[in-house]
Amino acid sequence: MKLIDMHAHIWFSRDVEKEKKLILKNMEKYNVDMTFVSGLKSHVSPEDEVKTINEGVSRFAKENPNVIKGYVYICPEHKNAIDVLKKGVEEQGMIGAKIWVSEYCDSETVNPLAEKLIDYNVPLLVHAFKKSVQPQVAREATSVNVRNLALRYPELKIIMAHIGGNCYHGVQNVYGLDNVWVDVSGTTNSSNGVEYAVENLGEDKVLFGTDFTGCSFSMPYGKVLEAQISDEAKEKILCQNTLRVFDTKFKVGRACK
Amino acid sequence: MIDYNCYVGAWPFHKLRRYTFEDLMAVHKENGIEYGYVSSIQSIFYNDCYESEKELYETIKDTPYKQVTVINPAISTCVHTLKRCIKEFDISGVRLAPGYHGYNINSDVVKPVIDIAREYNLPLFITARMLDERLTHMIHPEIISGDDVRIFAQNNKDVTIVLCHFKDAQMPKLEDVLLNNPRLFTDISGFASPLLSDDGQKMQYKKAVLGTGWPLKNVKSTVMRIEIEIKELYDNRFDKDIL
Repeated sequence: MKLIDMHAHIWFSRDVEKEKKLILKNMEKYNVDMTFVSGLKSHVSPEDEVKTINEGVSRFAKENPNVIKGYVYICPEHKNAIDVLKKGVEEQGMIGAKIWVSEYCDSETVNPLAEKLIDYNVPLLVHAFKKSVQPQVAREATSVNVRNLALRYPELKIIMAHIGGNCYHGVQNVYGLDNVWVDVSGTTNSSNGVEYAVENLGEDKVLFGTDFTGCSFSMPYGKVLEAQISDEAKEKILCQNTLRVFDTKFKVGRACK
Repeated sequence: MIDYNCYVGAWPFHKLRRYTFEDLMAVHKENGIEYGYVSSIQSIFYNDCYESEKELYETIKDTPYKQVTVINPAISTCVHTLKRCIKEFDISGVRLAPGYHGYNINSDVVKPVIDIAREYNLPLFITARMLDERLTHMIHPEIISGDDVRIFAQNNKDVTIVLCHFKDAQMPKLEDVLLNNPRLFTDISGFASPLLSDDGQKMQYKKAVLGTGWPLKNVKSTVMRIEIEIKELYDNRFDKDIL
């Protein structure tokens, strides 16, 4: 196995079957071995929307068992969030959880979810994007929120998406945190973010994700391939680091001592 | 293939690992690009861009690369500078970066520059942004709006215009202008959306040229997009210099 996209989406605001076909077709074009998918729709999803999304993602993974894996999408502010998480991991076969913009990832409502995720030892993928000129969306986290959560739960494996948006803000806030990784997904096509993350966090802490179908696959993939880092680092980013983080035997924090 | 939008020079706001002309040639070669229309990053920021243009000329002369001079129309001596660059450096285009220089592309200060471009048959490279504006930290350039582009394109149909670093989300509103103006093109360095088999999206690529935005953006992303995702839309347009 050489290429895993650990951050892709089915947008439930579009034609879901077309989205699924796009993902599979893209995997053929780029020789992607596995894609980890979460579903998204509204910035602040009602409970029934979350249910539909997770059922749809779970179905997609079951239809393509060796190549598609799913994240259970959670809105922490929902009263049934813990039940959604349990169902996602225990019944729907999800390999991680995703928090988007409906609630800050360091909100108190995340605490029971974090504790359960530690029990399962599956990672939490968190959207984080610091913007300098546009307003943050809904309750959109930045790397500051990620840091708070990581310090509160050192045994929780957290993946901060998009290197936090502005990679300088993102990397500096998660520097030195053993339980935080970053992914390179998204539309910020700047040429230096991968190198900066590798140089400051280490080549083991960077994961390859794209944000497809929200972003073209070529944009983040080209960033990694052209990055001024070793070939070994690229191999780690494109596949091996993801396999390690998602291995339920791999633990961090107090749990690993 | 030809890269219609690339630069050399250090960026003042963050470290770039590669940014020299030698680096540019190397990355182009790695990606099957023959040469590029290249500008100096320093010219965006210098008070007298002639100094950086001269350096660029000395660097790229005797190569196939083509010099695109960055001009700031808000500086009163810009016409004099531009004419010097035309005379001394045999430039192949004029770049405007209004977001960094504080003017609107449809304002009166730009007219003398357009007149010279027209006189010397030089294409105009209109730069919407150098970086994703969400990532800026000291200077937050104004982004060129689609409405401004529409007016500019309609008023200057006799000048070749290349829109640089515009986002694909801006393109649908410019569809009629793009399709009806044979001398208006857009580079794809700012295109981030996947091709979703939408006819409107395909329209964008009919007037698209390969521009990478290197060194602030990487080359491989754009080349992969062409070679893997949208090759059939390009009709080998990029194998010859259309400017």
